[in-house]
Amino acid sequence: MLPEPAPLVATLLGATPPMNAELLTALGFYALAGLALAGALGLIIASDVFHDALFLVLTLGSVAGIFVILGADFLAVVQVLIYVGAIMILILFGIMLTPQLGNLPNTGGPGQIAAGVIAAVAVLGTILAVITTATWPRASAAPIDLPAGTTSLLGTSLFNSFALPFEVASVLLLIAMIGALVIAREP
Amino acid sequence: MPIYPIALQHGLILGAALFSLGLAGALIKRNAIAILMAIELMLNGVNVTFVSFAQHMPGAPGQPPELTGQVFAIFVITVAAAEAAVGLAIVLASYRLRHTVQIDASSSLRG
Repeated sequence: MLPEPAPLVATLLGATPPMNAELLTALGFYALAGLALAGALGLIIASDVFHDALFLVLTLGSVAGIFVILGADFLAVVQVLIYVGAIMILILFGIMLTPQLGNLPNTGGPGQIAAGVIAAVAVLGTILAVITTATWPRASAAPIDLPAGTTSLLGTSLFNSFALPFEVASVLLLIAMIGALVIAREP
Repeated sequence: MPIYPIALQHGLILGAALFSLGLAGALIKRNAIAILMAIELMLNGVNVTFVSFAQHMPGAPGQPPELTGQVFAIFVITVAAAEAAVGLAIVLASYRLRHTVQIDASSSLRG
């Protein structure tokens, strides 16, 4: 149940301390979630690849904000740096280097669209059924108190429990870098 | 389900919705670069799920939380970066061969 809007406005204006921080956090979460879903929907609907990229930036940015609300500040920065920064630049270069002759359709025919929508709805329905019926015995009911900065905790985890996957990830990045160079260079 | 504090299920539902929208985009789109973007969207939905779980997983008694979900999300981002680099390299190589990025053109293996 949402409380009356009048106290919320007053709270936002700082008229009635104590501020209901939890409510503001929740409202921020749902606003960012709506933006992320709108961007994802726009990515599907837009007919221009460049517009697709812009909608993807909207979604990725909103997800970065959601990471902040969910207590993952380091991941939010990484999301902005790597996704919005590096990967989107890469995709824009890809769009730029592959100019299209004429105006080819971006989406498939009606049969392909119907099949895609049916498959996605089926997957979504299955996941939602599991989410709403499962009991999550090991998860705490309320969000746990994460420290203000999670970076040191993440670093401790990465270099203790996850040291081997961390090293393997560096090898993966090296292989991907060499592979991309070999595949994309002029023959 | 109360609106706040944000329950575990809300983050999971958002992750599932992003994943499904990405799946729909990957199946509907015809442009190889748009499909790559849809796949990035799916990976982001998975990351939202991981981070939601990380926020609801307490550590051992007396210990700080281990944040396993967030560590997994870091690895997902790493693999997504590698995937984007190699995927776009493949798209560029295919474009050089066929002068289009429409996936319908890549049908030489069709019987």
